[in-house]
Amino acid sequence: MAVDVELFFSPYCRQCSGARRALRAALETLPPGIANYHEKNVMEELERAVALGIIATPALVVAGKLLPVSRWQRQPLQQALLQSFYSEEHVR
Amino acid sequence: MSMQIGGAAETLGMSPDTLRYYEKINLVPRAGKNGSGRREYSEKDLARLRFVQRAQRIGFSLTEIGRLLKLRENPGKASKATRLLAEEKCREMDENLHNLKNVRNELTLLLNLCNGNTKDCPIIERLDRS
Repeated sequence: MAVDVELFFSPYCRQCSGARRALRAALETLPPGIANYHEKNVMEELERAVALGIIATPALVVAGKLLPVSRWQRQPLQQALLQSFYSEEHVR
Repeated sequence: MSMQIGGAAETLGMSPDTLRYYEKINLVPRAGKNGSGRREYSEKDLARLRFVQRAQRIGFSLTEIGRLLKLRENPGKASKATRLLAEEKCREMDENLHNLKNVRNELTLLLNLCNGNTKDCPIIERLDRS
């Protein structure tokens, strides 16, 4: 089953377009069908964003959990996603 | 020793209008009147008003304080009902705290989205959408 990966961005965020590019690139390196990717405008989902603990954009949410990202670059994102996927699988 | 409304208000740190209002809504019984028709507050009246003050400080509403005052009149049987009222108040406070925390987090997020330099403001946008 594919894991939900959500990028919360905002129209006010300068970093967001770079983060989007890096995340898409990271996702492309993963096996097909492993992730279900969505982009969410934080202004349109503010309440949910707050409930998830998001306090800034860009923010990455994997399987409904906020994933801390220190560097919005392809390789660290790829590693973080894989780690998160495996831990999800381990939990199941 | 009894005192008139000005003295009672000063002693309690309330306004005379507040004391009159509490009487008007039957939260406290009407104060006795002296020979010239002015309100006279006894120690018992002041103790009741201090009780109201403390209960308000804890967060009880005037309606709840009215219930507490009735319970106060019958201390032998008050414990269970007072406990229930206090438990209800604690639940209400927890809910308020939770809501306040969410509002605080939302404001933090909006502040982080707003760099203060662009012509568009996420805080105004959010208020417009609400």
